[in-house]
Amino acid sequence: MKKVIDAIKKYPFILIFVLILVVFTPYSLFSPGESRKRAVVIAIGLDKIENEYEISFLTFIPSPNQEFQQSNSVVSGKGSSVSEAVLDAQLTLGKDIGLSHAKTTVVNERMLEEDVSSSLDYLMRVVSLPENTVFICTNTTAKELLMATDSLEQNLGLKLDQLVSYNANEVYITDTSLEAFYKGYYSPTKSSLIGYIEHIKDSTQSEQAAPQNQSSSQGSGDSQKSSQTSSSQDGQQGVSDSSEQNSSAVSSGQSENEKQRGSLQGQSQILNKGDAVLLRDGQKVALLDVDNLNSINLLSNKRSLDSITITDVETEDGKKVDMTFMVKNKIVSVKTDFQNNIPLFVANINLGVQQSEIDTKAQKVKQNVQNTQITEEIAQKLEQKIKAEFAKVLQILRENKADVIGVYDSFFTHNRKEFLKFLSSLDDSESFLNDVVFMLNLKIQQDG
Amino acid sequence: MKSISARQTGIIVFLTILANKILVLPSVMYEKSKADSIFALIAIFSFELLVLTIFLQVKKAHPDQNLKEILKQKVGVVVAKIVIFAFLIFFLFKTMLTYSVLYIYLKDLVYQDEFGFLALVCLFPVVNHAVVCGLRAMGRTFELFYYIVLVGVLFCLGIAFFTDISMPNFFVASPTEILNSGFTHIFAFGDYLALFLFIDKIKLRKGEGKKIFFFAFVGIFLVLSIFVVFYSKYQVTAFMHNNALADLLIFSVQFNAIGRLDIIAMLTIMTLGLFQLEIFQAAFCESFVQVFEKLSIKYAVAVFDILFFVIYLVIIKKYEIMLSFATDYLIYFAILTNVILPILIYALAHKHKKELSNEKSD
Repeated sequence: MKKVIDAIKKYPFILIFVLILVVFTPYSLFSPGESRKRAVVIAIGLDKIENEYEISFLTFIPSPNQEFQQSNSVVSGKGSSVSEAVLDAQLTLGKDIGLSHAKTTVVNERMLEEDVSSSLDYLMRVVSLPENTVFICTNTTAKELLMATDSLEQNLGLKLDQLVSYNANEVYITDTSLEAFYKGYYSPTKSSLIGYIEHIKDSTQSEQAAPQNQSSSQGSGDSQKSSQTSSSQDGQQGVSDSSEQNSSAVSSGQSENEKQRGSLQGQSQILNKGDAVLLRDGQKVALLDVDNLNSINLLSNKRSLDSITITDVETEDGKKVDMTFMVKNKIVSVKTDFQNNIPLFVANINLGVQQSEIDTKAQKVKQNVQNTQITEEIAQKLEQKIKAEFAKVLQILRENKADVIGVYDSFFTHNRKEFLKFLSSLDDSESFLNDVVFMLNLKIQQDG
Repeated sequence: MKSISARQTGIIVFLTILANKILVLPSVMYEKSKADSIFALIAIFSFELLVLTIFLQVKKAHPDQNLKEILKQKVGVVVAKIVIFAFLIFFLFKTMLTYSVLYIYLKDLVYQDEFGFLALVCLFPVVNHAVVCGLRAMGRTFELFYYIVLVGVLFCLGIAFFTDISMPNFFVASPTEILNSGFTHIFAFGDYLALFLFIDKIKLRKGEGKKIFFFAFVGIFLVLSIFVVFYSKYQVTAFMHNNALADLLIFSVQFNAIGRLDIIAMLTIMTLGLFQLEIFQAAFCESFVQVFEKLSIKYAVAVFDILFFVIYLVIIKKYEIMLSFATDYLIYFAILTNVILPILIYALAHKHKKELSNEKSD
């Protein structure tokens, strides 16, 4: 004993170490697991219905199973503010929420009628919603989209954030994370783009599909560019009912009870057409389709899924055909300048295109069109088409005073003094795009 | 006396330069003067390099004396003790600030809940033990972990280049805003004033001052790089990100599939935070021992712990209050310690050296 006391006197750190073990070991052993205290949220939905907020959490339920399937459920809460709605959802769930793994944030269009950033503020600052979460908008309610997401994952093995990430890589000029939204929101032009995923509730098909309770992947498709998944939206009605009664609800795509109720519910489809919502001051000002986005992308060196179709091209044998070209290569250099105090935005664009399709209008193709050379007529038609599409999107941007193509930044970086002088000379400096002259110098070549 | 080598001194300089500047500071400085905060940073670092030169000259003139002995010879024991007491206060609050910054980071990214008591219980025994073991043991530990910390910081910086970054707009803020930004956050600087308190424990051979400068330049380069890359990555939203080094690792949506690499930033920041707390507490204890000569380092450690717990947990209570206290009130104190005291020490030491050389020539 004396030896032990001597050792402790010599090395008092041992005593501190033992004390820490004595105090914290029982606490650690008997405290419940973190998953019992905190729900792992993988997606958030925020809706505004009349004057009330409804927040929905797609939560991951850790449970032992031998399949490689993740068990998720949608939990929602309502309140007059976002914080109240979150609290309500937590009460329903019986757990705190952990948003570190939240990869998707969905809002409905109603939320974008007002400045959405004020609603997101609580989630960002207080409950630590990560900035790299994908931020998207949907046409119905965010809650319904999250519920449909579960089946998207089961049928296609595709997560919603992956779907939008594909758009971000191939369609949008920028990623559509919450961070990108805020970058646009706090920029001088206050404009940003976020992804748009359409959610279709088809009640006519439900009665045929629901009794089988089968999921069908790949819908018929409204557009060739869209990807769809359809599935029975189990539990959807049940959720609505209970949410009306309790102002909060828990639903799971997995439960048997809900599957039995499936016959009453509509079939749900997630439709990704690659559209994006144009926001200014956090409010929706326009919905941009893929063609609009491709025109915006024209000014970026970033690769995009861009196809251009021109009509009535005369072939060597004098027939009129429609041709579709894919943009394979793109080199863009943007210059800004002032001439006689007029701001010039000049984009020199070298496009390498490849013919991908030819529509001969029911006539037989008698020649190899694989390597069709870009004739002067084709190049001219392509140029006209590209400029016309760009003019359309420019009109949208001008009307909404939204600059998502970086015009402000280019002028501010390269011609700061003149640009600031130019802005101060305008009655409304926010509509500066109206006074900027855009010049597109296109050089279209055969790729390879 | 157990001394530390020039390399170990250099690593202490490196660690202290990174203190309080790689997490919250880039964000709060951006609020004041946008990306032009980097100019404020360059100006302060230039002055700090001058202070480092002053330290080396004082060390050269008084190779074996501690700060109290140097000052006592010229201005008497009372003034000497007042100067050292000022450093004591400075390093007490410096430790609190460093702890607060580390705590905010860990709370935001790891624990989510308040865990103040747990953090103190886990951190302080280790820090106390290091201080009791002495500067040489600490120096050797720092030497061992130096490359690990360096690689960690460089990794965080490197990963940031895999996301969309573009140069931020400079020359947006006015000179007044830039000066104001530097002045408001001056308490986050002056960390390697600790060297003045360790002056007698540092063994410097002729020409080894360059080694210390090398490590100082590495530290300054890393801090400036973190600021530039952070502002390039986040631009207008820089003010929303409180943990600069860790936030450099946050991927855009395309990279989500790789998973979270936060653990690398976390380990780097925790190691850095622990070492910085050890250096600042050691500086406090050294000041304490020089002011209260009859008390040993163990008493100094005990007094530090009591003061820290009472002031931090009872009076300040919350880390947010500590941050605003540092920017609202401690800046005036920092002007005294970071600017006036080094110049005063240099003037006194230089004068003493001149008198000695005059006596010799007579």
